[in-house]
Order: sequence, then C-alpha cells, then structure tokens
Amino acid sequence: MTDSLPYAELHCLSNHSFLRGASHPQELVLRAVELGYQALAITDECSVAGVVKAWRVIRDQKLPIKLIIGAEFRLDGQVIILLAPTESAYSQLCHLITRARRRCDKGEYRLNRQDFTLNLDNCLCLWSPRGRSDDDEQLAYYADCFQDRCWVLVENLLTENSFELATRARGLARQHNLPAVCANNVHMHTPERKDLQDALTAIRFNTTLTEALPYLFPNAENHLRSANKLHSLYGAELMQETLRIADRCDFTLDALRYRYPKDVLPGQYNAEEYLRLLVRQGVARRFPEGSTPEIDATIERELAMIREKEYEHYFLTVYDIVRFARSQNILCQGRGSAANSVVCYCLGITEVNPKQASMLFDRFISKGRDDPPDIDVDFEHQRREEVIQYIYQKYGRKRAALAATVISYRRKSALRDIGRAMGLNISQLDQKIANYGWRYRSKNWIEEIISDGMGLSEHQIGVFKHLLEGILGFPRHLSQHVGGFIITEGVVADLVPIENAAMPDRTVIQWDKDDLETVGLMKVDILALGMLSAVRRTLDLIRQHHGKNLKLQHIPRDDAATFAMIQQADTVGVFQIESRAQMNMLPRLKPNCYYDLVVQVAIVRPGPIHGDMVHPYLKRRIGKEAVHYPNEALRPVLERTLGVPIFQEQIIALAMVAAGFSSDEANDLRRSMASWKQSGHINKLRSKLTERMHKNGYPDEFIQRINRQIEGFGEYGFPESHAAGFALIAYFSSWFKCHYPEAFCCALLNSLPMGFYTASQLVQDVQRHGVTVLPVNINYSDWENQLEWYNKKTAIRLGFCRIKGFTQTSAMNLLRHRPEQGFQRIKELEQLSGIGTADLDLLASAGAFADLTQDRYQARWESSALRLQTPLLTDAFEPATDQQSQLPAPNELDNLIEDYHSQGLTLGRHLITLLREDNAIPQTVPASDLLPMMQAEQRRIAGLSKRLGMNQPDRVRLPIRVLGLVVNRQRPKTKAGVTFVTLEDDTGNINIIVWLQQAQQYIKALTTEQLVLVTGLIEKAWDNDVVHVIAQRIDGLGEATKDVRIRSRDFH
Amino acid sequence: MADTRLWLYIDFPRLALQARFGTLESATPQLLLNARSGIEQCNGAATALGVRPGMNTATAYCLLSDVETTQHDALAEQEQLQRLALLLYQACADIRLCPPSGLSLEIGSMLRLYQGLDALVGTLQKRLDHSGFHYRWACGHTAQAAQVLAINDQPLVSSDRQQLISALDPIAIDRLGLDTKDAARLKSMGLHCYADIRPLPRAELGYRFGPTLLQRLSALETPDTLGHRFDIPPHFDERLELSHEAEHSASLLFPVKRLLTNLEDYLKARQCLADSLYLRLIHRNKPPTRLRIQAVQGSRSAQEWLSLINLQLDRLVLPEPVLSLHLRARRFRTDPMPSGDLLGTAYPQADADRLLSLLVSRLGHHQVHTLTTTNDPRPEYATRLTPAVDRTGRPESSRPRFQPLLVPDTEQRVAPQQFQLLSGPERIVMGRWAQPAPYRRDYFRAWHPHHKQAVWLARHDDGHWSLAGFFG
Repeated sequence: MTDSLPYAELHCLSNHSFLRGASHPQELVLRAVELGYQALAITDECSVAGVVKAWRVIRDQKLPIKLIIGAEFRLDGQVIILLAPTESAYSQLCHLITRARRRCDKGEYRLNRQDFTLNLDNCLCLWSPRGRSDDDEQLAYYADCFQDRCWVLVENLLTENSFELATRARGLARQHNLPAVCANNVHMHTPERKDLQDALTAIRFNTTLTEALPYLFPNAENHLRSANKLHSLYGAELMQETLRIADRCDFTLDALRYRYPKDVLPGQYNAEEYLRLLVRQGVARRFPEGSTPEIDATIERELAMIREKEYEHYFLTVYDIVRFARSQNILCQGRGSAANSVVCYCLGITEVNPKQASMLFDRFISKGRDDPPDIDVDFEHQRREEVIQYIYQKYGRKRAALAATVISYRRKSALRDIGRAMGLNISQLDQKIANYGWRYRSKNWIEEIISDGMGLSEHQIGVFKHLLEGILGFPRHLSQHVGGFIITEGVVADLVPIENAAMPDRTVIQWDKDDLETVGLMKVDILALGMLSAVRRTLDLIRQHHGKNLKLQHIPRDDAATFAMIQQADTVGVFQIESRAQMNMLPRLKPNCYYDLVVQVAIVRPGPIHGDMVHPYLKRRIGKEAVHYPNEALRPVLERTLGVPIFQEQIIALAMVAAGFSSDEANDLRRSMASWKQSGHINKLRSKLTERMHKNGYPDEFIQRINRQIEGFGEYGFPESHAAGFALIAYFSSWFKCHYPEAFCCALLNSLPMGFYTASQLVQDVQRHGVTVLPVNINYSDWENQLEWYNKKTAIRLGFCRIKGFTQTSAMNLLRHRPEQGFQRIKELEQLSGIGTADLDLLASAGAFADLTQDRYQARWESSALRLQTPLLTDAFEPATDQQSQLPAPNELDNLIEDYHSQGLTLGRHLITLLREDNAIPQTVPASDLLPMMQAEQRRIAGLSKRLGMNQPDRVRLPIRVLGLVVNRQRPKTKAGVTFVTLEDDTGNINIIVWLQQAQQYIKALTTEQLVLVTGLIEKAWDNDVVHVIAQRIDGLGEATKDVRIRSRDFH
Repeated sequence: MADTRLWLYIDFPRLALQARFGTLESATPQLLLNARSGIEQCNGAATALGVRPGMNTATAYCLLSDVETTQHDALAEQEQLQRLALLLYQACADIRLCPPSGLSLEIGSMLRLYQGLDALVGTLQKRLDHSGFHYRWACGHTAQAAQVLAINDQPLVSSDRQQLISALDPIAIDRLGLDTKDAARLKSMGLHCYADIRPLPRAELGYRFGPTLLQRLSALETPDTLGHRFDIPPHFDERLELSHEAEHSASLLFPVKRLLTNLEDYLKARQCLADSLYLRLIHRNKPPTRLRIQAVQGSRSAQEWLSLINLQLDRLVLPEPVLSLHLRARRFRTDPMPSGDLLGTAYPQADADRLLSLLVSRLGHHQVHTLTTTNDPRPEYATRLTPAVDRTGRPESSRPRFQPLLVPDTEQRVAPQQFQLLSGPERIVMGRWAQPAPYRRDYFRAWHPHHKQAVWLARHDDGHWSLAGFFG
C-alpha cells in the first residue's frame, strides 16, 4: 500500500454496469486502497447492484477507505452522477433508480430532466459537459435542481479532445460560479483490463472487436490512476475538491436500519411474548405426552438466542406464511439453518423433530454470526403462487419484493460471447459447445476446445484464453431469484432499488441473496417443490379411498417395511433417492433410520464425491474399516458421520477445530464456497486452511481431500440443515410408496412434470408392484388420474389429463354432461356443448371409447362423422349414411404407437415383448433375470472358492448381451468420462455404464438410437445387489422401432 | 379425345446444400442448417456418420468431429432451381417451378417431337447428370401424382396410365402431400396408405374432413398444373460458339456485339442495368481468358459496353485462338429515372463516372484506388486505399477524427525541441487483441517554426519521438 493520496474517485463503474465495467467491485476497492485513495464512489449505471460487494470487502478486511454510494445516469448523451451523502439521500437515489427502471423492460431504464427535480434534496450531483452548444443551458438547469450540491465534472482521459473539454468544463464552472471537481470515468481497476473492456463493449454491441472499434475507448485511461498522473492532469485544487465531496458523504450501508415487519403481531403482545405464546401452544401440540425438562431447556436456550439477536419478527413472519399455507391446505416444509430448531418444530414450520436429527440449533445461529437466520420453506409447486400472492396482498408490492440472482458468465456463455467478439465462426463455435462434455471433459477445457486453433493465430489464441479466463464469473444480467422474498416494515425502495423482471408483473430488487445477507436484510425463501404436491395429493387420495384422515405427523418414522424397501433401491418416484446414482448407493448404504437418510441425501453430491468421502464412509458403515478420527479434537464434529466429513457444516466446523479458524473466518469460508468461481478469495482461504492444518499435524492426504470437498461444495453445496428437511420428505414419500403404492403413484402422475421419471416409467413400476392401471375411459375417467375400486382392489384409473392436447375445459364440459349410466353410443356425444371435433378425435385416439366401439380406429371414424362441423360444411356434403364404412382393426403395435402418441405411455404389452414375438430383435437376457442370474453365479463361485479354499473375489462378472429402449442418458459432472444409460425392457430397467472410449466409439448409437443392443460385462458387487452392465459395444436397432417415438430424458 | 398429357417431376433433395457446396462427393461432412438449429440437408459423408435430416444440430455435432456448415439460403436455392430449369428449357418447353426444390415438366406434348419417352428422358437425364445435381424423378398421370412418386423415391418413368395410378397405392398417407392434420387423423383411423383411402366414398371423406382433403385428392387424380411457369432467367448467361477460330482480339468485336445486343434486349425486358460483365474467351488448350468490364453507374446500351470492352481488347494479347465466347451479367441495378437537374451539376458527376469507368477499363480494376478512413484510432491504420469502384468494402469511419490524412510511410524520428507543441497529448492504446506488440503512443499537435507547417508528433513508450503526419 502506498502513502495516503489526497484524492477520492467519484466516477467509477464496476462490472455491475453490465458489459461496461471491466472490474469486480472488490478489485476496484483493493486497487484504490493500494493507490492510497481516501474514498471511492461506486457509481454503476442506474444501479447500486455492485455496492454491497465493495462494502463487504472493506468491512471484512477493515480497509482504510471510505465507500461512497452513487449512480451514473445517461439521458440524451448527458452524463449525470448522483452521490448519496446521507441515508435519506441514499433512499432518494434508490427511488430515482426504481422510477427509471420500472418504466422500461428488464435491463433498461428511462429518465427525463424533470425526474431530477423530484425528491432528490439530499443527493449530490456531478454534471459532465458534452462539448455541445447547449451545455450552458443544461448546466443552468441542473445547477438549479441541485442548488449548492452541483459540481462540474472535469475528466481528462487523454483522448482527442479531452484537453479542450477539460478547459471548457472549468470555464463553465467559473461562468456559473460552481465548483469543479475531477474524476476519471473509471471502468477498470488497472489498464491491463483494456482487452476485456473492449471485448465487453463488442459483446454489448453484439459485434466483433474489429467492428466495435468506433465504440471502444481509444486508450486505457479509464482506470484508477496514480498520484503522479492525477497531479499532472488536474492539479491540487481539483483533487482537493474530491475530498471535500467525500467529507460530505457519511452514509455507509451498515447505517441501513432494517425494520422487521410488524404486521404479524396482535396488538396486545410484543414480539417476544407472542413468539413465546405460540411456542408454548406448539409444545402442547407436538409433545402431547408432555414436555420434558430437556425440551424445555432447549426451547429456553433457543428463545434466549432469538431474543438476543432480535429475530422474533423473522420467526413470526415465517410462521405467518406457513400458517396461511396450512389454512389453505397447502403443504409446506421448512429447512435451512434456523429451521431445524425446536422453536420451528413447535411453530409448525418444519416436521423435522430435532430430537431425531442430531442437530443443534445454536450451530446455525451462532453468536458470532451477524447474518440473519435462513429458513427456506418449500411449498407445493402447483400452489406456490397462492402463497406469493398472499405475501403481496398482506405487505403490498412496495413492501415485498423478490431478490435478484446475478447471472454470471459460465464456460459456455463465455465461450460463445468471447468467440463472437473475436470474430469466430458461430456455427463452428456451437459445434464445439455441443461437443463439450462428449469430447472435451477435462479441467483444461479451454485448451481442448481451441486445440485446433479455430482459425486463430497463436497470438490470438493467447488473447482468446486470456479473455475467457477474465470474463468467467463476470455478471451478465440480473434475474429473478427462485423465491427469495424480502419483506420490510417500510418501503423496499428505501433500502434498495426495484426493477422489472422478465416475467410480467414481477419485480426484483438489485441485490442478490449474498448482498441481502451482508447487509442484514431478512429474506424468506418461498420455494416450489413438486413432491409436496404429490404428498398432499396422496393424503387426499388415502382419505377419499381408504377413509383414513392421515396427517404427516401421524406417520411412524421408523417403519421397518419402508426401510426394507429403500434398502432394495425400490425407490422409483420417491423424493431425492430415486436417481440412478442414489439407487446405486442405497443397497450399499442400507439406510435403516431417519438420520441414515439425511446422510444418504447428502452423500451423493459433488462435495463428498470430489472429496473421496463416499467410499470411506461406506466401508466404515458396513464395518470393513474402523471408525477413527484424524485427531481426537474432531470427534464431536465427525462422530455422527463415522469420522468422515459429509456435510458442509462439518467442513466449516472442521476448519474451526483443525485449522483454528475464527468464527468470522469460518463464515467467510462458508460464503466463499458458494461463489468460489467468482473470486479468487476462496483460494486464499484454502491456502490458509491447508497451512494451518498442516501445522497442526494433519496428514497431507486428508487435507487434500478436504480441499477437493470444498471445491465440490462450490459446485453444489449441501448442508445438513437442508438434507434434514429433504430426508424427511424422502422418508414420507417412501412410506407412501411402500404402504399405498396406488395412491402415491396416482398422486405423482397428477403432479407431473416433476422428478426423475416419466409417466410411462412410473406406471410400469406401479404395475410391477401389482397395482392395476386402467385406461382412459369416456364413462369412468375424471380430469385427473383417480383411484377406483376394481376387482376387489384399488386400481388407478387414468384421467383425461393424460391425453395430449385435451384441455381441462373440454374435460369439464364432458363430465358435466356425462349421464349417470354412462354414454351408450358415440352418437350421444353429438349434442354436447363445449366439445369439438378435435376433442372427440383426441378421445378416440386415446382409446377412451373402448366401451362403445370395437376399436379406436372405428371410434375415430364414427366420432368424426358427428354433426359437430360448421353448418356450412355440413351443407356442402351429404350427411353420412347410417351404413358406416368398416375400417381395418388396429393390431397390437398400432395400439401401442397410438397410446404413446396420445398419452406417452401404454397399458398394453411392452414394445420389447411385441418385437421379441416377431423375432425382430435378438434374443437377450431380460432385465428381471439379471439379478437372479448374478446371484446364482455368486453362489456358484462361493461354493467353488469354499471347495478350493480360495479367496472370494470382490465382485462377480459375466459376459452378456442386453437390449432395451434408452430411457435415460446421464453424464454426471462428478464422474469425468462416464455416461450412465438406463435401458428399459418389458421386465424392468437395466443400468449401463459407458466409459469415455466406448462413448466416443459408439457415439452414433449412443446419441441417436432409441433401441440399443449392448454387449459387455455384467457386474455385481459381492456384498450388495447392485447390478450393472459395462458396455463394450453398442449397436442401434433403430429399424425395429422406427414408428415409435419414446423420448429419452437426457441429464447432462 | 383422350388426355395425352404426362408429367415428369424432378426433385432435387439437396438443392440448397449443393447451391452452396456444389458437389456432394466431398469427404468432409457438409450440413445445411435451418434457422431453428436443425439439420435440413447433409451430404453422403455426414449420412455415413449417422447424421439425418431433421436431427438436432447439437446431436449432429456430437457425431462429427470435422464438418462444414452453411445456413439455408433460400435465394441461392431459388436461383439454382431457375438455373436448372434453364438447363432443361431447351429440351422441354413447359417447365414449372415448384419451390423450394422441384421442377414439374409437362412432357406429354413433347413425345411426338422426341418420338417417344425414352429419347426425351435420355436428353433430360444427360443434361441433369452433367449438372452434377442430385435428383430423383418420376412420371405421373397428373403433375401432383408425379411429384408424390418422385419425392417418395419411386423412380417410375412410364407413360402407362394404369401403371402410374397403381404406383400410388403403397404411398403412405403422410407422404401424399395432404394437410398434416388431415393425414394424422386419417392415420389414426387406421388408414395408412393411398390404397386405404382410394375406395372410400368421397362424400364420407368430405363430410368428415372438409373440402381441402378432397381438393388434394382430386389433384392427385385429375390432371392439373403445379407450381408456376418458368420464365426468363434472372441472370444473363450466354455462350457463343464462333464459326471460326479468332486469332486476333479485334476479330472478336463483331461476335461480342451480337452477345451485347442480346444482353441489351434482356436488360430492356427486365428493365434494369448491368454494372459489370464477365467475358470469358474460351481457348482450345489454355485456360480461358477472363475479362471483367465495369460501368460505374451501370449501363444497358450495347454500344457503351462495346466501347468499354474495346478498350480492354485493345490491350489484350490472346494466348491462343478463341473458340467461343461466354458472357455473363450477374449484378443488376434498377434503372434510375433521370433526375431533374436544375443546376446542371449532374453532368460533372456523370463525366466523373464516365472517366472512372474509362480509367478502370484502361488501367485495370486494381490500379485505380480511392482514399477512405477507418475507425481504427492508430494513425497507421486510420486511412487506407480501396479499389475505386468496389462499393462492397467496409463503410467509412462513422466518426472522422482530427488526424492528418498524410502519414509518412516510414518512421521519421524527430527532436521535439524543434517544434512548438500546440496541444496534447492524445494517448492511443490498442488492446492486445489488435496486435501482438504493445501499442501505446502519445500524440501532440505541433508547429514547425522553420517549415511553417503544422505537424503531428508521436511520443513512443521508450521516449523517442517521431513525425506522425502533416496537417493542411
């Protein structure tokens, strides 16, 4: 750091002036400190989106610089900078930005001169001359608007006419008797960012760098300049004036006084009393057998902590939202740092009984943390909008708004935009991007992608790489957070500007969730979760068809049958533990209690996988490896996961215990993990962690694993507090699947789209569990899929909603007119109002007239002759004769094709069965025979090895050929080089593993074929029943299925 | 009298692709992409690797490691179709264009002239094979039937009406050119091919599907025309075989004049002007001699063009005697109406244009240049010379800078003490993307007291000074 420099930069854009500023706010602050600046104003264009990041770095690193908050505005080429010296000025600035932004579509703003005459009494104005004849008049106008608060800006950026402009500016100031002040229209922290700034400009104008020349800065002077240069260009007086302005600015973001909304408080209570009352009521409800001294003590400790932090209003606000949802019968479930407390359990915010999860509330609200508590509440996805509308209604649109998400450059977007700026062929680039994942997979992806030069010279390749690395993590635009609401006592726009989101009638604030957390504003996440819809529907169906008024809290949490089902990976449709990777893990992990599910939900994630924590945990769990701790001090941290860190919280705690991180440092680590790509800060923390753990005697290998795990958490962090909430829903859904498979499947079908499986896969699964599924029928179906008493059992009746293109309105019209005894002839439908020919076609195609005609072809022929056509058309042709033409009947394959086209599933025989009968495909082992075959082989080998006294191998392998329809292709990011393919045949699913070499060799069959024949090795581990086929060859059998279209779901 | 009409439909399934890449034989996969990022057409090399039309671009890219792509250029495709029609025009008078990629020929009336179907088809085939374009064709008792058979790869060449009608029977419903929705509905009634719907009472079909379906079916069964008639080609492209070999360029004037007269008629008919002509003189062994003749404002007059060609022929030494001439005019412009010229200033402009035309003809296209400014702030690149009549270059600078136009070719070092600095510095820094070596200069306007001249000086990063240009 150099000596203090008597200067404050007052015109500085960060990269939150999207595609203009070429430096992060943090970089600007650090550079300004390095140069010895006294103060720095972040003046993004009509925005304060970057100020929190700048403020955070000053606060966290206790930097000796003052941050001034302001914004730049452009109208008709005129540049105006407003600075906020006080809290009220800041609020005025936010309101002005809000006004300008709300008038326009997302990302735009519009101002006129009159806007500067309204309510800006406390803002300071820096006016920049344009060098035009009306400068005089313009200056007079703004000087009048901002009396005693207006300066003329002198900016000499060494351009063609900057000396003349600077002289002119000083002249104008003298003429109007106004002070002049210097600034540098900063767009980057150092001149080395010139290339990136040029590229951003080219991207902004959607052109190449060469074509963008007229819009580029002619030099790199728009940076934070050194003392020498400032002195020689501006002189002491102008520089001194910057300090005079800076001295007037006292406002900092910690002065923002957030006031919790008080709407939730009944008049006679204060917040503390009311919360205590509600908790007491909750205790009576939650612990009907009576509270224990231990529970009472926990509640008191939690309430004391809430009191100390003054969080009562926060808990009450969340309680109010949850209460509303319950009153509307909308299922919800809270999770997150503060949700797993006895207080939240008693308030009904969560169903997780803290006694069962071995978590402690004060682990999540620590005294050292100033951040607001975090509770995410998941609601039924189809009804979340009702909750959002309730919030808007209760607090008004001025007091409730959605948080923003800053969309930043990632690999593909960076590649595309920088490539375009460099003038690369876009379709060639798209080709590269499409191949990313198949051909380019390593960490040196840039190297791989440009390995052929792409027509660039060596020098240009260097520039290209440099720009790509530079732009990664740069913000691109603001988007709407998935459900983070900020609710205030006053007006939101007093605290932060609001702008329009892309969605009509949605507004977002200019800060993201990290900013809100930094400033200490309360955020409630109102999230949508499909499974909650399914769970609520299951409860409804059980009530209707089994007469049981079941509540979630009545469901036993230790049901052996449910855990037995989970251990066999029989979890199609179940929340979270249904994916291929999760199903692979279930028979190994064999969860047999709720907390095992919490681990299960969290373990198949990038964090633990990158950190190689999965296998050690598995070994310890099955007793193959002893539980030990790298250091006895870590026992309390790692005990519940057998000495292996699985959760994000454990890494944080580990940093505190093993590396002596302070509470602040640990918090910093937690925050940086989420945004490690955007800043190099995490690397510093990791070095610190490594160094200190090393010093404390931890083995290198363990330290490296922890580091990789931190990186993995950066990709997708998954804390225990969230896993606890998810695991509970996973358990509930499993319980339903185990005990009420028909109700659960029916509810899932009605809640689609959600989850991992298609309707066809869900239906096949439930059929394999012995549940009858009945087809859509004109006389029995409802709009939704329903349960029906059939052959003394409960069966699922498909509803009209399954028919593609058939609307709910048409279905309702039909149901309204359906006679009690049902329709007897198709002709009866002729007179129905609100049903068109298209509707009848759809019903006929779906086979819904099966009771009325011999087949669906005839049904369609007959229904299309009903007199539903327009009168004009009816008159033009003779009425159809009663003698109906007889059409050929459809065969089984025709029906199957129609079923898939119409409903995306079939209840008839499987395509593979039909093809096998026709000898259209090779004879192979069906899916259902694979496990028995491998078990038999295992028994054979076991007997053999016993007889011969040999060691048992760790797995059983056999050469095999299998075939099936490709229903899923997945290339998980955590497993470089492997593609997981799921094949479906008439007996079940087959898991295929394709290594990179085979994927590339058989890429044609792998990416384009629906029906494939896989030759390879089938493998089964000795100690569990997971069976998969490792592909050595993949052949397409496309000819056999060319008429059938079954969509594969690709997860990349 | 029996209807003797017979149709031949020729479909060029990869017309747009070939319009861009020419041959399909390339070993490199070639793809034609449409706006919705799907594969529209592809060559054999791409097909061999698993790419199919209709495939998603991303999937295709996964299959191909090396590929050439182009976007669908409807205009180029249409022009190519016209060229192909022109190719067949001399063999068949009634040609109809069926965009995007088909030609419908009424050949029944030509059979007498050719004394049978085989001779006519043979002639057409020869021409088509020569063109190198991939095609498929079929005859039909109606134009629509011929089209359906051709695009369903039923290469039936016959004048047997019964055979032609029954050839339609196995064609799938959705390949009959019916409305997509109607086809889908018919299929969902189990009616899969033409044979399935042919016997059905038309009244029943009409009642269920409406008149459109009946119209389409009727077009298949009742003779009617298809597409729109092929007329004058949009480009002038004529070849003239000389009755005897021309050894001297002067002897070419007369045949050239014949071509130019035809061109003048063509341009008159199209009401346009040509602004450049390409004349190829075909020799026996040597490669053709190519001449490009340009009229700055465009021209129609055979006489004007002749005088411009004459200027070039004057200087031309023929490498070998000329066998034939090939004249092409591709770029046309609309005929501007004479503007009211009250002040008489139009004449000097017309004179300047004529002078420029003469200079270009006399000195050659690349010998006449004009000075233009660019957007590059570096003085070395701020101005450049461009061909005087080439209007397709980059637009001139949108923001002219106050930089001297006269810039020394080589660097001239100077001592700054000899000058009085008037203003500056103006700093110019270029990003590394523009040039590998760092570029950072400070420029000053200065006055040379002795030479009484305003100059532009550059201070380089290493501290030395140089003369960057002269003002005035």
